[in-house]
Amino acid sequence: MPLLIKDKIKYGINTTEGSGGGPVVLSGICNTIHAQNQFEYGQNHVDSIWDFFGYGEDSPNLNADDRNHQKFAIEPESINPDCWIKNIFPSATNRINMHGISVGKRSYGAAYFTWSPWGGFGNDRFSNDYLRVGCRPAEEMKWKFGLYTGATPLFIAISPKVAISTFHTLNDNLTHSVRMYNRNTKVFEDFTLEKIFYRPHTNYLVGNSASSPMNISDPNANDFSDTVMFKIPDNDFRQFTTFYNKFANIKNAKNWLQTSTHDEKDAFLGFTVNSQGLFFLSEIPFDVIKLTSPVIESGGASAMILGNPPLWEPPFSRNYSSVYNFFVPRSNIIKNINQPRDFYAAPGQSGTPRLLYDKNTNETIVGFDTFADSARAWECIFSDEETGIQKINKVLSSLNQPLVSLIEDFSNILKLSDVVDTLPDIPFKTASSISFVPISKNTPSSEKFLLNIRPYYSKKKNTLKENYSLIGFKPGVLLQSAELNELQESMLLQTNLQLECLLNWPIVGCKARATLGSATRIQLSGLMDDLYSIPFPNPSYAYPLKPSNINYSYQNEQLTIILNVGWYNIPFGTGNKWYYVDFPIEHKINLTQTQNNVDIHFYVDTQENFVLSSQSQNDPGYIFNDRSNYGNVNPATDGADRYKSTITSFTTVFTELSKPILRLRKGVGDEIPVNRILIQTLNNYKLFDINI
Amino acid sequence: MSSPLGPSPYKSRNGIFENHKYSLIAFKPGYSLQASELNEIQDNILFQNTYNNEFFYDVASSNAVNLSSISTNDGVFLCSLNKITISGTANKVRLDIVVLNFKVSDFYRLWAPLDDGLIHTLGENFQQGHHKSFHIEYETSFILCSSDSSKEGFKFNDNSGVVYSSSSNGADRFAIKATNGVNTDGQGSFIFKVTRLSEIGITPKVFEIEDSIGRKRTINV
Repeated sequence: MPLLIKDKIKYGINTTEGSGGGPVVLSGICNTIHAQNQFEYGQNHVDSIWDFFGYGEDSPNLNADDRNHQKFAIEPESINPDCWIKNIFPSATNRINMHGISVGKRSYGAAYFTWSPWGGFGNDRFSNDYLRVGCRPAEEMKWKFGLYTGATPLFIAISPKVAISTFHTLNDNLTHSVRMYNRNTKVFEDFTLEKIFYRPHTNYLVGNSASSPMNISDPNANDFSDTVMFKIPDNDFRQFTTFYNKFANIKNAKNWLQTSTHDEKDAFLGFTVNSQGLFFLSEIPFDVIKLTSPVIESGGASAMILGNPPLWEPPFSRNYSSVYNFFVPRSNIIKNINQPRDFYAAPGQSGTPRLLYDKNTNETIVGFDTFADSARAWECIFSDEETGIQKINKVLSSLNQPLVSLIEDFSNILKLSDVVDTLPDIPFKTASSISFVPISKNTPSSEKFLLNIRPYYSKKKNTLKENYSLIGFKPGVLLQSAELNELQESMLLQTNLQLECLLNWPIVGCKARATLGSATRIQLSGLMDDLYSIPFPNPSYAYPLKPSNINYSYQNEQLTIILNVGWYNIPFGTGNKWYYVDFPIEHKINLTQTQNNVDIHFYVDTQENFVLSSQSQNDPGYIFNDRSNYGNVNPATDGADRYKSTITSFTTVFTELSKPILRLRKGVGDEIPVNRILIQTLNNYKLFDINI
Repeated sequence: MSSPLGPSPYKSRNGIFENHKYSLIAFKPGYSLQASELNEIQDNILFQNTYNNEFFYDVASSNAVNLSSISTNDGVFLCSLNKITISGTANKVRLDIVVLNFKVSDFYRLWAPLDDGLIHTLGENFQQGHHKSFHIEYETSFILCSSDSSKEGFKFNDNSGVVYSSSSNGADRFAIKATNGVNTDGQGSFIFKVTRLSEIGITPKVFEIEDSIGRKRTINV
């Protein structure tokens, strides 16, 4: 059941606008029971987010300023004039279904708050050199990547899967660390991040600082076995609610925690900063996450999964408002970003758009890594009866579901285009410029097609192996934007393959006398400098994208020639066209050692036909229907047909549709003796010279 | 070079090839299709084909020896060396509006112009045997259609009238934006490098330009 806390959202926004302190936006409202539980605390207590976070009247350590809600946290930067949250949420109506956190770029205090199962977090902008995750004023340029909280560092990785993957990134790239604001001295203090660690098989560690009630005997040690941990029974993260309440009401948390035990099967992820501790609570055992994560490189804002849960106080020290800065080279973060930020309420919000890559197949999954991972991990509705293990199994099961089924209810998510226009100008990088995320900088996208992402939905990727080379538009059928995108991709694919071909083929033949396309002048002597050859593949015949596409074997007087998976250019009508062979095709012929005057052409045969758009899910034309609704096929819409071109066979038998691709000769005069097989393409390029 | 589809009423936004900024039109569901967008598609494809052909011709008629390296190279290469000039006593290298090929995905290389050209002064004392290398930085991005007239994407709105209609949201664009740079030491990757062949004081001054795929051209100044 969706949990929509409209008033609380608005309250959070208002808080941000006015104070710059406290939890900025309680977004990430999710439609899971999990979230509902998370918010019970707030709901049960008072009518404000503050109370939910423990800063209400029941927080014993609050001073007057804190209670005022307006001056809590970081006083020096409490002016927050250009927070764009207010623009993103001009009203909460229909904006509540945001899956993710939106925070002001100048949010202060306990800003980054990630109850969102979508791993919401604010990264407000990209700087030139760093992905800026976290909200810092423009003048504080060095705070490129930060988590900014208003309390003792204690975090919950609501989305541990993302936490882990991103922290692997962080681990490699962290160059700077933590700045904390001392609320007593009102001075920022820098701390060097000493290390990041994670501890597999440990769960629910509640973290320590020198001033917190937790103990870690040696925060730099690899072995944290003596670390006091608190384990939530049975990995039941729903118990957090109880946990919070319990925590919040225990005055002597140290003793309470120290009496707890931990389970080696559980997971723990965290890091230490000098004597201060930052800790993560992961709800799902690390190994489980690690094994199932489809993310190869998450890159992105690790902090997006950091939470600032209500347990920060009491019982923990309130000496510090904390600013955590993780400096991550941009190059390590955005290299997989190749999607427009099209439906994030807050540009720079956590679900930094990227594609997911399946670790095993390298297939691209349309989605967003943090977003999708979180969605997968959390789009599980648990019943009260389920045990922790059952819940974990359910999560795992959900991980294997197609993402599309999990995001179909995101229709109310703001489109970025709705957002960028409302953003105010800010001093350096405007928020709107964030949306124009470079998908690459001198680094090509590993994604093959550019327009197959949401919302453009070119079907080219889906139809690649089908060899749908042309789109057959029909009168009376609505034109799909995706079809126009596919049209461009198809055309560009053809021209790019042609270029790629040029780059892949060796330049052979006598260029000075060559006449491109003058097939009649070709003399297949096999000599690279033949007087009458052409320097490139002959467009009058078929040829592979690269000569290495073709292999052979010769055994027991049988020659097998193989067209491997790849692209082949084949005459088509009055021109030629690239065909994709998605499984090897071979042809065998017998050649005895004594055979003479052998001169054979090898041909490819093709089949051309239309595949019609269809309402039947079993038909290949089903996907030609409109998919603009988050990739879901609407069979009632109809779409254009596709012209399919298939290589059906590879043979030495000439037919009317045959296109020669190779020529084989053996025992031809003095040039090619009987113990030699010469196989060439039709531009005089010697593919194989086999001595038998 | 201009496209016949550039002027009104066709108004292709990529009608002038030298100013060709957007490689792909990213159509979105739910928005009206503009006639100019269809025209722009044709211009885009024509643009890519044109420079593919130019490149073919240039390579076929040159002594390029390093072609195969491109396919495994994520870098950039010039369509032709003919747009590189060297002039003046200060030996100013100019790369006027020029089209380069960028690898933007596993499948795609796209031709796109270098926005502002490139000018670099070698200096009078650029000596025989010395060389200077030039490389290009580039970024790819989606430029979103915007109703804000200050945004680049504003012009993607309906352009059939005298002014853009910001109430008619248009398709987004995929763009390559290139800037230039110079490697002073002549090391590392480069698009092209200039070497002085002749001694200082000898006229004409002779320079050799060599690009990343081995094409060479000699310029006498």
